[in-house]
Amino acid sequence: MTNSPWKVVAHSQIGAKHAMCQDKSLAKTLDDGQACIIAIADGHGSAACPLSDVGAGFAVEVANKILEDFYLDIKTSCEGGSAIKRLAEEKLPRDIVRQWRERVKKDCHERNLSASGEITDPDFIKYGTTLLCTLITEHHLFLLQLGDGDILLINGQGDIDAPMPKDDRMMGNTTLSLCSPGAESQFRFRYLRMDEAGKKLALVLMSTDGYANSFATEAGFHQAGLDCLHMLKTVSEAYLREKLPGWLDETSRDGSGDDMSLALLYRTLLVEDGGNTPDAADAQDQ
Amino acid sequence: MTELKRPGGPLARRPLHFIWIADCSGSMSGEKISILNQAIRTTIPHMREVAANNPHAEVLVRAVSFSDGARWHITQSTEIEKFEWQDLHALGHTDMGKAFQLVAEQMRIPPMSERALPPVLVLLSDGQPTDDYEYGLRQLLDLPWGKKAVRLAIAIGRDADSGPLQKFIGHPEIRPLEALNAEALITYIHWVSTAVLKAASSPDSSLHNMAGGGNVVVPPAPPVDVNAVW
Repeated sequence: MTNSPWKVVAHSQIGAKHAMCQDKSLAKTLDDGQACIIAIADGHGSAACPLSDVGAGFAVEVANKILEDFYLDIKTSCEGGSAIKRLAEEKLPRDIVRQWRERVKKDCHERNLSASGEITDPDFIKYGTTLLCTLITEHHLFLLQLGDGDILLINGQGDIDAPMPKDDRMMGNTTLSLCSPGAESQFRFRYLRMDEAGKKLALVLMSTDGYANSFATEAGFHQAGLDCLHMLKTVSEAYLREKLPGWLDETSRDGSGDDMSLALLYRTLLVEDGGNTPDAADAQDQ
Repeated sequence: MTELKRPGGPLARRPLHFIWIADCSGSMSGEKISILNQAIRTTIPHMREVAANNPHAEVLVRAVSFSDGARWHITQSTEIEKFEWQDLHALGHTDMGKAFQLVAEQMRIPPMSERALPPVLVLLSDGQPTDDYEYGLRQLLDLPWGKKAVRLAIAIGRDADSGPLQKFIGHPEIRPLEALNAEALITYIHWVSTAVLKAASSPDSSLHNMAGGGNVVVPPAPPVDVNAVW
């Protein structure tokens, strides 16, 4: 049994209705699981966004890099929770958007997309994507979200919290995006101290909108979080990791038809490796 | 080991509500209402074909009629596979605002679901509203699903007041469709219930406040004969 406090499972699955997967996911553990980062992104996939799969890839890579750098900054910081929260809320969206736009500009030049050499708003739109990302450490939990998708926090007793404020603008297939002007001010941000209440946190579930949209009810979607936690406790991560692509394929096929990403960040002390681990490589999913 | 089932509760397609909002005032009587009934009835197989090609959207159809007051002509949201049209009859005034209020009640959450696809609302009218239509329209557009709905309007004949229809559409680049003759009405009804339905069935997201766009990219309307008139 690992000593890592946190472990992560993440997978992006092409939608039943799509020819190319516009979703990306990237997860990383740091300091032997003392900290974890997850990022998932949903490229818009519309005719105006032909490179949104590329944009989604940039989004998860940039988010991972920025969050890792931030973790290294605060690891040795003596600042209190309020100061760190303020710093995260100001710095992370701004840095993510800036570096994402730099990656897009570079890619545009490499593809010779602009005859004039100037990259304008319509060029960024081609790469449009949402982004949900998390950094968890021994003391802090940072949640950031731009656009549609869902984040659930589940404790060891099975209580579920949807921590991000609802945004009606995300209904009806409309979303905010990294490509939008002023995107850095449109992030939803949530900070939690991992104090006594945080110690009960067992699972962070993050998903792109195709996943929750596939369930008949919100309760059915929440049940997915509880079922995943139960599986991690009573079977094994390896089993869940092996089955996840097929389950997401089934969910898309019988539900929304959309691409979907599902990321599970779980506390290892609250789960056990069960006795039914199938033969499967235990590798990070990228 | 027994295979475990996938996580989560029952899965379902995303509902797509399609609502006809039909003017049944006295001026619609005769050829206009007859052609309207015929057009909606004959487009049903084509709507079924669109639905079959977009299996992840559950297309649910209803209709509101308005004349003296407004009422649900087909009350139950009906799967397009089972939907059958019942003829409308024309008599009375043009209480368009009351029709908007009826639709607004159904755009609340619940009965709407947050996971639904954008509803398609199609307004058909040949005249001028005789009630405070703006009050009813405000009630509709104050709701998130009222705002997010794809709203289109077909003006039947030259006497239709395009102002209220344009306000209902609420999109700077989409105009009311002018059906000046029977063929045009049939063409437009066919178009809104197939091409637009198909566009609304897509799960792909669009950008909030994207310039010139809504949450559904409405395809261009087909050309029609503008010479022959009712």
